[in-house]
Amino acid sequence: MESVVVAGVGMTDFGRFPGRTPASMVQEAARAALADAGVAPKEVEGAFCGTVFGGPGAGQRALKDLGLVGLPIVNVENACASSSTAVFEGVAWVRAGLAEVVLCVGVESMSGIAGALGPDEADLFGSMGVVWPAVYGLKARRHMTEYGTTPEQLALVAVKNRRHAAQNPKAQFQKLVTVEEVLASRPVCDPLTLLQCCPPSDGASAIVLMSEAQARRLGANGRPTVRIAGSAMRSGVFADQAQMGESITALTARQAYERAGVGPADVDTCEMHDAFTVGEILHYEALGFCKPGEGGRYVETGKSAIGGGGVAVNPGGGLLSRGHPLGATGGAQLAELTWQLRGEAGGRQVEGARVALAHTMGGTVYELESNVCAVHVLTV
Amino acid sequence: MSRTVVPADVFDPEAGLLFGSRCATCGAVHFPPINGCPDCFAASTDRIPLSPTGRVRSYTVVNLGFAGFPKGYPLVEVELPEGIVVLGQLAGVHDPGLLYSGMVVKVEAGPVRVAEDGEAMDGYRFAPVAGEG
Repeated sequence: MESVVVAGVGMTDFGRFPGRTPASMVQEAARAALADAGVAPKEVEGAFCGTVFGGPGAGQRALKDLGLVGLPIVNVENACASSSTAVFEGVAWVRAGLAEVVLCVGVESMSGIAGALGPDEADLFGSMGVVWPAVYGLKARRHMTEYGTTPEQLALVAVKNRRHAAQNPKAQFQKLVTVEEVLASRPVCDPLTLLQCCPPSDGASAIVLMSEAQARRLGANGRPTVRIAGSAMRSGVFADQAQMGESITALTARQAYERAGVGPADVDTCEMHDAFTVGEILHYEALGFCKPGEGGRYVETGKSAIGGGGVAVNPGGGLLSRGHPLGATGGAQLAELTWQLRGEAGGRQVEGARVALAHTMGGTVYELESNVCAVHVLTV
Repeated sequence: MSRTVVPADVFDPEAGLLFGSRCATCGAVHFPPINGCPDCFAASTDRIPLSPTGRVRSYTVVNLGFAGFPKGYPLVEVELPEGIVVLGQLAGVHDPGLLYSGMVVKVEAGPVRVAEDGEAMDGYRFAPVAGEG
């Protein structure tokens, strides 16, 4: 499969910015990504906009003031993986020859949202009071019962990702926390406490994708060229079927690894979907970084920390600490990994990173294990 | 009579039974009931009552939920003998220390939330079966 070049990346700070419109955040991120790529708006031949609550025409509304008019613009809703899906589509367009340069943006404005989010309240799950933290609370309890994973191991995920975010000026939370503070924070959905849950955030991200031919014409700017070597995306199967087979993450990752021609042992750093601490532990296992049941030990022994000897997971702080503006998250993961592969990640640099993996989950319609899992493998 | 949040084809509050669907062609069982069969693509399925008792596979206590739900409600993941997993609130147990995997529970009708106008809304929930598990 021919690789596609990640020519430029950009993102706003993530946090709570109640005065900012989604359009203004997209424009800031897109300007940064286009400048990073050295591309003028007129050279963009297609655009995708990922957002969950941004409403109809979010992409057209945000991009027109940058002069991005006339080109095909596609709005993408795929829950928390909306901008990961936008990039998946953008890669396909470049490979298919529909466009030499594609801009993929993602945005969410969540500061108006109070309380927990969950599946649609009209779904049976939602009407019974199953919110997202409860879904993950149930997963956490099962992992503890089945494998002996401890509350301290769960908390260590939050501590590690906060330590990484402390070196990321764009992260929503940069103040260090301890295991004791994480465990003593407000109970949300037992055994998960508040500091083990990602925040609702405001923010935008942008990625400029380019064909190999166009990248050669423009030249590499003296920087290492980052490529998307393989991408995969799946929707969830029925939950009862999923329990008998491999998880959506394991299946999607296998496809992405095969397409990129790499395996879990080749991955140096990974941005993964840690909406709740237990998610990261489950995904270490499903992505093949450790054996099933050993996710708690993986974080406890420090392997997933930067410089810990394993895969450095969520160097940008993850959803837990960078923040989680749903539609912007996938793009922010790819931006972080691009900085890592170029060696531009400053105090949170994963030394010598050559292969990186981005993993995003999104939503669930009742009866399905998940709506979407998207995995992109980046190389330099 | 209070309103219900669960569709009538999914739960019969008077009988206290949840319903699923079984494909007449391939036998696949799903909850909630589906009209066609997603496994073999047969156009019709039979609506069948599911076993009223099952075992708790996992549990949590929800302290931050949707508006209209009680504060600190236990939520359980219950595996029925048919192999179906159903999520629901657990009535009558508020101390998380008393919850455990393997606990035997039975489905029953009862209030699960309060509507915006203050009226209780009924659905299905689970209750521990005394002396079991």
